[in-house]
Amino acid sequence: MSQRLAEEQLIRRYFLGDLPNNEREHIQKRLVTDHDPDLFDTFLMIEGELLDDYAFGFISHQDREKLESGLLLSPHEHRKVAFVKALNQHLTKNKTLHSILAEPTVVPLNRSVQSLDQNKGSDADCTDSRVWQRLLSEAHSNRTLIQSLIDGDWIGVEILFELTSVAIATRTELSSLLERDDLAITDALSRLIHNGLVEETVGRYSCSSLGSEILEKIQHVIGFKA
Amino acid sequence: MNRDPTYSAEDFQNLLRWLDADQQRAGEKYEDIRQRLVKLFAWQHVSDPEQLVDEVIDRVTSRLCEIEKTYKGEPGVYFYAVARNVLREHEKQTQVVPLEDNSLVSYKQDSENSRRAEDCLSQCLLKLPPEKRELVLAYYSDSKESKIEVRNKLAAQLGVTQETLRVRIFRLRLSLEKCIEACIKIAE
Repeated sequence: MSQRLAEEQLIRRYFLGDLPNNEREHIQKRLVTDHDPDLFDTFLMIEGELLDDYAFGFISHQDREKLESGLLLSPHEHRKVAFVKALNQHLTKNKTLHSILAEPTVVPLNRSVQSLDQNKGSDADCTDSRVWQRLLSEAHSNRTLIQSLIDGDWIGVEILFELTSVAIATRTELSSLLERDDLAITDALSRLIHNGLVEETVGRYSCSSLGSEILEKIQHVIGFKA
Repeated sequence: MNRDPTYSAEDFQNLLRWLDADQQRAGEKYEDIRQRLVKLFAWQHVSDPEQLVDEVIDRVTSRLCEIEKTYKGEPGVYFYAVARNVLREHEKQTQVVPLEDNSLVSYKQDSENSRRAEDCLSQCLLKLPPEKRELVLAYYSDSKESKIEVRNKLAAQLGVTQETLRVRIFRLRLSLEKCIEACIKIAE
């Protein structure tokens, strides 16, 4: 076993509370007194990976219990777990958003409330609650996406329209084209980027493929031809 | 919680001089020791590690005249010895609250915090250059079954070893965590 791997395992055992007192003392002393930046980074890396595995559920029941009765008693570590959970949620939501158009079996953004109700009926017969959870999660994502389009007096839709006609624009250009103040444009762009509708490259904005598809759907629904 | 130091600016300058004759290196050493002590305490379940580190620095700074006369070793070792004493005293005074109790009391607060963390994460991800943002999202987006496979593929795509990928993710994660922490502080 390489020295590095052995060191990593030792640190992992430290975090899991598996080290005898003398070894724990020794490694703690090295943490403070060994000025090798690699060693400190290794501590931080193993800590991060353990908490990732904990938050994503990639850890054995035994190790989970060890973390909960040890390392995770620290509020500091709770914040780190919250970070991973936020990342996990963000990924789940983004995945859902992109699946809206990619998967025909998933409720599309412009499906009518009536058909959603029909879905509810058939799903309710099914005992698998995961289907409902998925629908709810998609509904939540759709809501966030719609909000990014309609908040601020439909500024999101206006931006998408502008970006499809001019292809690329800076924030200042958008502000002047739409006659809106810079702050409103900045906020709207953040929401659109967050929802994957707009892409930014070095201060220049363009409509993403998802943004174009959503815009087409909107145009189709309202019978508008550009 | 922030506390006022008991030492003067001059005492602090003396402490820096003790750490290194070069002012810049002394500042770096001070930050390095401080960061390591914060982690040492955090990993020992201390709820406010910064406060305990302040206590350690207070003690070392206030005894510096004496230390310089009698102690000839590495300053880090001295700091560690003081940190152990401070930790022991702290453990005697404090009883650790079990995780379940914390969770029950602060369920609502937790959900608010998690929403805030999520909002901040979105903002911080947007601040990353697109290629770094994609890398961090791709790294974490794999399922349990395909974890190793996806990371192998990512490393191959980037033309780097698994270890390099791991270090890159570690750095990205650290910068994201810092950004989120700052964002949450502003939101509070």
